[in-house]
Amino acid sequence: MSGTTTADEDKKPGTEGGAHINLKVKGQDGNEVFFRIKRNTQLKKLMNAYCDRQSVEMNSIAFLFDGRRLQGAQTPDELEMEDGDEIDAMLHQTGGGII
Amino acid sequence: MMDSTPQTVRIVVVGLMAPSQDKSGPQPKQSKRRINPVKASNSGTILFRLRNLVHFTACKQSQHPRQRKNRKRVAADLDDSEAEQTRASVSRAHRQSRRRVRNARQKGMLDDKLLNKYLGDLWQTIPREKKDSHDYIDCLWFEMYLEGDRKKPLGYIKRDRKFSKKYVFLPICLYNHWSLLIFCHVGEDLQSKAATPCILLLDSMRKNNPKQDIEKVLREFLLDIYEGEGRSVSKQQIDKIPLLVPKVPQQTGDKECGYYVLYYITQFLMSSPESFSVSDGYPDFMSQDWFTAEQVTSFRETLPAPDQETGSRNDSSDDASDDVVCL
Repeated sequence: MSGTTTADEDKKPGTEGGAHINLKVKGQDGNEVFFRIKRNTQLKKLMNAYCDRQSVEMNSIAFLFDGRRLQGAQTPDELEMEDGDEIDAMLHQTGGGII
Repeated sequence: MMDSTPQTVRIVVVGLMAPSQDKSGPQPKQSKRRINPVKASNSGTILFRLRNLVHFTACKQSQHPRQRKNRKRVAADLDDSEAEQTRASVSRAHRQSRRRVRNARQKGMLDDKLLNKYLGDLWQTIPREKKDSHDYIDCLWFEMYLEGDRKKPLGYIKRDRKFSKKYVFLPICLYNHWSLLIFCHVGEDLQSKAATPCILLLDSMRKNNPKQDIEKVLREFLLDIYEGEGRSVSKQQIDKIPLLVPKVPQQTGDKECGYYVLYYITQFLMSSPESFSVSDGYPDFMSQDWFTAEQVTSFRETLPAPDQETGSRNDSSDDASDDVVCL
């Protein structure tokens, strides 16, 4: 979808404990973007990279992993993420009132 | 099932989404002529897909209640393939929405990130017995459900045993407006006399008749939850669960709904009864003068300012390093 490649080329099966993992970020429109990230790198970097690629501001997107909101300072290691795991990117909702 | 032609629908959708139309004020007569009356809504999902699109594109434009109603009708006219076509516009809408959240925050509106943070903070402070009987659902789970990705949020709800609690809060954001659903005793025996299940919809702009926008999909949601938990409950039983819109304090401006939702939750937590049955009326604390606008303002002042750190891009300068590679 939209020119994203599969993660196969960089996938090294059985690299548990390896320095990198592949993660997939899925947008609300179903579009998927694949990232390779160091296990001990803060996910903030992945979020930034995703937002850059999608030309949206960090503040406008919520990232969820297993339904839980990602904090920028968390790392894949901390969240025990595994190779191929999926992160959902959702547009923030804002409400005030309807006048 | 719908006898309206797709062309008619497209014209109306374009008309509704054009910001200039919104700005020029409501034109109810024109809208009426264009839209064919709908006998039955065919899919809550489609309604909400369209609703999201409108939400993205018409953000912060003033919305006349009548236009909202018309949108619903239009949405019901769409079939699946057309709804799919509208998805193509979503990424464009993403781009258009770039400044929306930031601007809204500056203007004093609440977004789901802050709302969720405040709820998390609140849950840190409430006593254990309250935690044992109350829980809340992330509004984005419900958003996922509305978007059609139903399996995931239903899985999360089951995993976290949300409906094992007596009272479950779910803030929802429709048409840039927050309101609050409280599922009462929904996880308990549907036949119970002492604690009959019901859903309360607390809305600080009650005059907009929020129930009409949500009821159908809400019942589908509930049915899916029951089925996911392996409970044999019929659609008829679900339809019998009352969805009530009690009279609660109303917001006075056009930005406070999110804070009202938070305040409803804090006040409900303080006063929620051990159990209640709708036949006995609402919980007696729930009324139009439950609390005052001043109390909401004071409460709001106690909330910590938004944390800029997580949303900040200041430290993105080293993005280019090989810590993260987009494949």
